[in-house]
Amino acid sequence: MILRKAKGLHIDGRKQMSKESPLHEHLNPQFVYIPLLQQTSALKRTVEVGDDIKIGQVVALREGFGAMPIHASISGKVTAIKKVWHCSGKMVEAIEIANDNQQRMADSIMPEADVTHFTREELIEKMKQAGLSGLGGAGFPTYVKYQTKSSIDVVIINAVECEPYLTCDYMLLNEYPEKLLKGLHYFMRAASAKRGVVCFKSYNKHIRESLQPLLQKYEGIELREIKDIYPAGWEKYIVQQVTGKTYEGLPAEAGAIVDNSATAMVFADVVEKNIPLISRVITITGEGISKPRNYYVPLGTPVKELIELSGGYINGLVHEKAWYIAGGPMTGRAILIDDLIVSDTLGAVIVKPMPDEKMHPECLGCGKCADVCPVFLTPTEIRRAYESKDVDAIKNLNAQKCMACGLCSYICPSHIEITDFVGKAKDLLRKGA
Amino acid sequence: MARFANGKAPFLRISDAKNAGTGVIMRDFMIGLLPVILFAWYKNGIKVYMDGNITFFEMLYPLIFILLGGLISTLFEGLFFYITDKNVRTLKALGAKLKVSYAIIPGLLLAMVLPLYTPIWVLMFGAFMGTIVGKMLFGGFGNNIFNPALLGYVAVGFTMMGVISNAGGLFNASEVLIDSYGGATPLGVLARTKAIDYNILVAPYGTLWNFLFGTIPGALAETGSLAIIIAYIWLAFRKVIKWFTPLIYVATVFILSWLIGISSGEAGLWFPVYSVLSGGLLFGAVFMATEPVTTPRNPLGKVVFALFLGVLTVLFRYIGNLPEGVGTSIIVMNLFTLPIDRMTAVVRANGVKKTTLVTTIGFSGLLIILAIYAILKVQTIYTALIPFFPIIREVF
Amino acid sequence: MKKIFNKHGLITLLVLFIAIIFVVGGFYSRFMTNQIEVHREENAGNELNTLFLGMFDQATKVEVFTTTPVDISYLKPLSTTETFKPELVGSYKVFNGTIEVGVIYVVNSFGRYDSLQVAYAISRITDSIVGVKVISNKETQSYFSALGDTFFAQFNNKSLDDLGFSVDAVAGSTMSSKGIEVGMFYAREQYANDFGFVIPTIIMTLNSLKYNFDPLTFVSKPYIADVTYGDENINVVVYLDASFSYAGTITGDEPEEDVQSGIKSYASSSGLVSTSVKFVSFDNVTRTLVMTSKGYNAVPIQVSFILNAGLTAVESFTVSSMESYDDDYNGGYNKALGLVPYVERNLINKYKDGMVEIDSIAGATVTSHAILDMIDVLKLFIAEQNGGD
Repeated sequence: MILRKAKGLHIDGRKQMSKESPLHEHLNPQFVYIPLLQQTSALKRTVEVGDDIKIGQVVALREGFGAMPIHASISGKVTAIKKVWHCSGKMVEAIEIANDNQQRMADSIMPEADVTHFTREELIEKMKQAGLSGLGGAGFPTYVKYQTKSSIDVVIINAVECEPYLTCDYMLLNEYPEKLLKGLHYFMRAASAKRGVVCFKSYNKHIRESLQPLLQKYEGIELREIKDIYPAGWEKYIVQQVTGKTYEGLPAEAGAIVDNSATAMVFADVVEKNIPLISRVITITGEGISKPRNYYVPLGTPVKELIELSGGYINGLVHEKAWYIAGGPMTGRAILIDDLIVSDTLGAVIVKPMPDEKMHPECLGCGKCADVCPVFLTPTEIRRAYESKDVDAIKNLNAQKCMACGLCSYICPSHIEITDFVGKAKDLLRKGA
Repeated sequence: MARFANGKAPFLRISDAKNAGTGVIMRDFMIGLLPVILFAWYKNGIKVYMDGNITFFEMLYPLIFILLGGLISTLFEGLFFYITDKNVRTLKALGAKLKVSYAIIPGLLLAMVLPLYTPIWVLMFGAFMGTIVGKMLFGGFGNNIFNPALLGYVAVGFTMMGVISNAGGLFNASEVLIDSYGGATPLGVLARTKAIDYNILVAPYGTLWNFLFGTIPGALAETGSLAIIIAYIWLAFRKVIKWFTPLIYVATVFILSWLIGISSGEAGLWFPVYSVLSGGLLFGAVFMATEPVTTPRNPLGKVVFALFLGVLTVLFRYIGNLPEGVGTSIIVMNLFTLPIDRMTAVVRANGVKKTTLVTTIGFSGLLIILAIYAILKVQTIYTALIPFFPIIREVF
Repeated sequence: MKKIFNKHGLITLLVLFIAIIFVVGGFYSRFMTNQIEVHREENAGNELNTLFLGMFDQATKVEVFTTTPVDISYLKPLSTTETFKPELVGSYKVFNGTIEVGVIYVVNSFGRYDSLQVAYAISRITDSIVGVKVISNKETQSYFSALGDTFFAQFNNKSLDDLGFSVDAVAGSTMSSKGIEVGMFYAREQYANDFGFVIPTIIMTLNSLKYNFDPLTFVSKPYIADVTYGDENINVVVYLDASFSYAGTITGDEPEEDVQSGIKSYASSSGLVSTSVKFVSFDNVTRTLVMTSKGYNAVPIQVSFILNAGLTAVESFTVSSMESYDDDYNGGYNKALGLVPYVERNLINKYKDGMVEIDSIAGATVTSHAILDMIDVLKLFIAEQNGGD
């Protein structure tokens, strides 16, 4: 129906460029920088300069809501506390650890002999102690979701990866398909859910082929193809596809928990080997990179090293005429300097030459932004309300529902920063309210 | 340490691609106009020339007239930019400015809805009213409230109709020879006789097929229903216009005309078909009611807009003494674009809830009242009802 | 100069362009407008040529010839005094090869609003009319188009000898029908004048033409004509129907067919009776007389009069009209002044009150005339009931 239909839009994935080369491991960077920031909360440092560090050792604590420990990703010595560029676009304090290349493990890291006896509460506690957070991009502490009081029917693994360019989830899944099913299995136990669903994009037939034979070992797990549209990886969309239910706040309202596939794989390690969240896969790609590929790296690795491993920038890349994007191209941020460190929410770094400058006309009112909006907003009206600073109107227009998927700016034929306007309107609403 | 450019998400834009963006929309729009322009030329120029009724230079007139419309409005806009903006006083800057201002379109559309024998200075007056008054004084492309072409048309219609008919008026050199036309367009006949009768409305012009193929008298390009339908399919396919706006508009007129026909004791389907195919309805529905700047942006708003247009058009056609209601109703609805946009955006974002119920009911109530008024006000209803309610005769 | 151009070149160019378009375009438009008249004339000739050739079965050439128009006046329909003089607009000879097969007269005759131009094709071989075509008219399209093929078919191959030949008028376009008929008579006179054709004459006098007041027959035979004709002065009194066609004899022998046709012609053009007022019924017991007349757009107006016991005056009446009381006309026929239909009631009441000279009401002239006509006939009816006084 014209009034309310979440259409989404097919966007050219441009994923092939980073898929061609296999998953690379880069486990021993010279230095890692553990940022003292998780989501928006600053962390409390628990080590001092000069301390000896082992892999898996707690180096910082998140306090308050979502309290959990943060672990060291390499072994070595704390050499400094310095400011580094974080993918949120700000400089944050970080613990610099110099690698001793010995890979000494903390005592807590040891394989579990028997993983069948864990209760729900024990599994949730494990999540918390491992500092497990969503690797999809939001970095939400995972255990918080599982502490829900509503009964959960289904745990959904989001392997959709609808942002163009990104292949980190796909590559990891491709490498360790069984780990995903294990992780999901533990998640289901942690949520007391009978049903587990792995969602992936319809063109990734490969995932079905590799997962299908393994399914019989894991009861209650099914596969689900999702249409190749953006934003198909949006939580509400996936929950709606799988359960047919919609919700306002958290997926738990619809009896579902959604987790990123990479998170599930880390959780498998957490349960079986007690390895906390210390590494992730990151896609280094874009037209500005010589050899786009994926890296399996310890958290805190400087991205610059990875770019050098990828052959550096292409010849003739004018830095002033290129974007250096942290995260996906639709929702990510442009970072000014390529001193960036890998953190739990950074799935990709894309280097992309800027398109040619064109003279763009004014908004002609085609209404395409309203057509594509997955939450049925009318961005042009929100912009108009914002420009007249009409807080009531912004509220009536439901601007707070915007999840900044970026589709309106993407589709705009006049190149208007319409997503940005809606974002500003949201800020105004927050301030005004 | 390389320094990079800053930018805002998303970093993928359709408008960055070579063949995308507003320019392409406008190019597709022009391509959509092409069959209609060619038809206008064929009907008023080539065909008459082939019938041997006119000379070669007269044959060129329709085409030159339409193209001049585009040229004149471009020139006016260029002049306006030159005078008001110090930065665009070189040919290059002016060209770039005109390119994103789409100066050619109002003039083209205006020329297409004017009668064939409109003197060129009248066209210039209309183009001036449309581009300068209707568009540039409002702040230029994207800021105008009224459809510039229609504003020019209305200005010409209210002040210059006498001049145009003195100069030769609506009929091309072949049509003036046909006695059965009696010097009137189909809608003109309806406005004068107010009689719903196939023999009076359709028969003098042949059959309804002639209405479809456009071989009936009318303004330059508005009669070519088939060409307009082709343009509609192209524009909808290229997503330049929303496919449902013209459809809802035309369907509303169709249904209301049908009801009016039935209430006047003429239940045949020919009457609604006639109503749709005669006059500028199709042209207005495809090219004017979908003009993005002056119509609502969100899909729900477009639906509401189109519904109101349909009802108003019928109202103006049967109630007023004007033969044509399309231009007037679109101009009137242009005024309401902003409130419709705002209200429907709220309804759309929140769904039909208590808070939005008032708006929804208000809209639909107004629509229904207008529609019923239109049906009731058609004069023949009085005589049509007498057999059923003899008391009416006594009362009045 | 060059410097000025460099600085202001662009605006000069723009203004120049606009000025050129204004001037050249103006000439172009003027040229187009002038051409319209040129084409109209060109085509008028062409079209007429093909039209004229098409009126004859076998014809190859049309040629203009000059002649002296005859000077005859005719009475206008429904009038005893107003005359009309048709005007010869064009005369053409039609050839088949070298044989002169016929002649065409284009005559300006009257119509409802303005004159009609009608072409009459007369065969030189048979001295009969082979076709009639209206070339231009300014009539209301909807009514004029009522003159369909059947109307024009009446003329086909009608011999000019057929003296009483009279055309069946088409309801709704009576004036146009009459105009075409008068033009035909004129064309015959012109033909007689040009080619020595002798119009046969029957001496005929229409002694009287009256309404038939007999309630038993007045619906089918509304008129009674008293005619004297022929060398022997034969006198007949005959009934005529609504279109003045012969409908039966009252006294005398049944006349020949051409005489019947002649009676029709004389009667229909005499203007002695109104053709719009008709009797519908008369009930002796209730003394109810129902009559109709034609109002605006020939919409019927029906009035039932109840006469007094002595049948000398109207006791009461009811009006039923299909006329629409359009607000544009005299405030919906003056709804404000009284019960609608105001005009009808007002006029009849005036008559009832014994007023002799009743004026029509401005803004509703047609309706007024319809009612006044009806009152005139009603007066005659009442007079008849009281001994023909």
